[in-house]
Amino acid sequence: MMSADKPIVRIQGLQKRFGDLEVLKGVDMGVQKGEVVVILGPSGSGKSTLLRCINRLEQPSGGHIWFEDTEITDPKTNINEVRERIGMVFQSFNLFPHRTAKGNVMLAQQKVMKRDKAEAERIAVEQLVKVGLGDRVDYFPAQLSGGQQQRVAIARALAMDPHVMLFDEVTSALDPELVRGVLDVMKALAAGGMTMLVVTHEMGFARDVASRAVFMDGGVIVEQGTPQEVFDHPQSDRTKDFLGHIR
Amino acid sequence: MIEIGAGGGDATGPGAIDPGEGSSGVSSRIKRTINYALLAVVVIGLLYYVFVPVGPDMIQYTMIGRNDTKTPSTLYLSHKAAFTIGKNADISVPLQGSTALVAATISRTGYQNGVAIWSFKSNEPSTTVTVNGAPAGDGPLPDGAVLGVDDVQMTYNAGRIGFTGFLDRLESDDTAHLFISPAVISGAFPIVAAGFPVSVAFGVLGFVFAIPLGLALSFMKMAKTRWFRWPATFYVDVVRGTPMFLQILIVVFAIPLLPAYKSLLTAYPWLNDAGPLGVSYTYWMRGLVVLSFNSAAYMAEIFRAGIQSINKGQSEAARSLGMTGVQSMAFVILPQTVRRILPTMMSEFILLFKDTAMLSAVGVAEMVQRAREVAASTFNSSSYLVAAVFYLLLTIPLGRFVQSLENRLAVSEGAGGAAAAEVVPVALDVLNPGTVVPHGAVLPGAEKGPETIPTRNGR
Repeated sequence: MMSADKPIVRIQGLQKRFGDLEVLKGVDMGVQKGEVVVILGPSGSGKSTLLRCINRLEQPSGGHIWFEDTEITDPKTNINEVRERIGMVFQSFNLFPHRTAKGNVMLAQQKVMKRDKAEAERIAVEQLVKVGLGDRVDYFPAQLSGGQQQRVAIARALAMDPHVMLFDEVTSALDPELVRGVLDVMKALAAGGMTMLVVTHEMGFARDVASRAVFMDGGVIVEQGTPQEVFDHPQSDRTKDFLGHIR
Repeated sequence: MIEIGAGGGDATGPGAIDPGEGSSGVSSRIKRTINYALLAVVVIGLLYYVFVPVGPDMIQYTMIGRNDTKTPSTLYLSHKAAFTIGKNADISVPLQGSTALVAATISRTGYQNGVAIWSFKSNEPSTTVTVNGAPAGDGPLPDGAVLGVDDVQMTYNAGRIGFTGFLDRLESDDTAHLFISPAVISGAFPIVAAGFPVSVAFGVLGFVFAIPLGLALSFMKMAKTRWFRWPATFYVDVVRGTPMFLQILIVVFAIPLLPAYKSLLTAYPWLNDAGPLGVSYTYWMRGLVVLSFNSAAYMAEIFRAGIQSINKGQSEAARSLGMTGVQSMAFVILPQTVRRILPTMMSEFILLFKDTAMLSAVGVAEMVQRAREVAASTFNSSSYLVAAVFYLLLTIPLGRFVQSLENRLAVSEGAGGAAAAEVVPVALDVLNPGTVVPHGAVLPGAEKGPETIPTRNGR
């Protein structure tokens, strides 16, 4: 579909303003197919906003984003078609509380991809088994732990066969003992070749899994490189300062 | 005296209050205590009124002796046999063979300090009425007094009056019988009962028609463009800012003046005929228009608040999966909204059901109208009690149901969420829904801080 060196996501001069507050001040970035990019930074640095601009949950104020061959920032683009191919997992899970785990994973398959019920159900169960919840398919979100809910959310996104997955601080709302299960799912996903953009504070995960680490502060990318480069030999003072606080 | 207020929870009696709750808990406990005390006073008062004799006011009479046989015979006249329903006791004395003659009339004319006042009237010149051998004068009777009508003697007994005696006393009481006359009540019962389905039908149909209208209004109010928002806001303000009574008068009397309405009636003259339940089609139409258009304005606010109470993350999740705005609304937001607003919607129904009474102003033969007709023809207000009972028949069980629904919702939605422990079952005062979510209670399941769903104040 595309040449190997052509980025699957390309961001150029991205700006985002909330009123007078400038959250993104011109971000340039490319993500290759199969890459796992971890985005780090202090809160308010714009990393979540960057992620949310990629599937246009936030409307960029300036700049361009291309996803595969589509320009997302083009107002003529049918964003719903693009979003089908971009999976997103949220910090607060956002499962649909009126549907079971299986129902959560089935809904968009049926309504958006127009899969018939039997197929949607088969894929839903398959995905739930993959995230280790084969015995919880008929549970309602309220009956699941936070970690289980988050894994359902991942299965829900994966069922749409996304080409890219966006993870927005997906373990931040979890109790420490539940984090591991979610990270394990993400690791397996990365090992399977999924292209991932991950905003996280899990430094261990970033170091082990990321193919690239991006450090953001004040709405710009301050520094990026392999996890070893960024974590062990940070160039910028802001990166050093941030990593010092994290440890 | 019905207690549906904040205190009347089924599961939690007055003693089951968590000692840890705040000042609002204390004040509600005081309120609850006062309510129960008032209820106890009323119940004890009623029991006292029914079963404790307040004076020699007896219904049983013993007749002793017949002049033609000399053999003492005893005749017990129950009050029913002796009294016509009303105030009078006609004492019939059998004379020569089987011919009966009303010899004298003993009437209870009322009560003074709880003691019956009697009047005596002979119906024949030769007949005299005696009390303890002396000619009877009007006034109270001492216990054990022997009444004589010519040579027939009767003993007046005091004692407990019992339920039938209670009914009779109501009937005889100069004041009470105007409000709770058993005779008028039993007469009014079938008449008012025939209006019950009319009231229910107006309530239910008005409610059902109001739902799509209210939903459309709520979407208009949430629209980005002012050309939807402003008309909807104007409509809601006007409807909520004017009395429903006035709206009924306007719709029922103004619509017929429209040329379109006139030509409609010319084209379909049968619309003037009596339709289902004896109400004409034109009244069904106009009544339902005013009820549903009115209720829709209130529902618009319920829907809007309900939709906006759903966490923004829900629509973001739906949109991130590629759903359109409409799909997200239909499959994600609205199903959650419905569950959340169900209790509020049901109390809206209760309000609407009660408001159907105002249709009596234009002559729709629903319960209140029928009760009014009975009252006018009997010069007696007892029929209103019958109507009240019929309203309560529906509103009290529904109110209880709303309450249990609230509690269940609080439990189910809160089960896995972080707010599970904090969610207070929302007490719902159905008969006075202005106080529905008291003290800014957290809406069950609302994730983003206190969010209340507005309910209209009673009109």
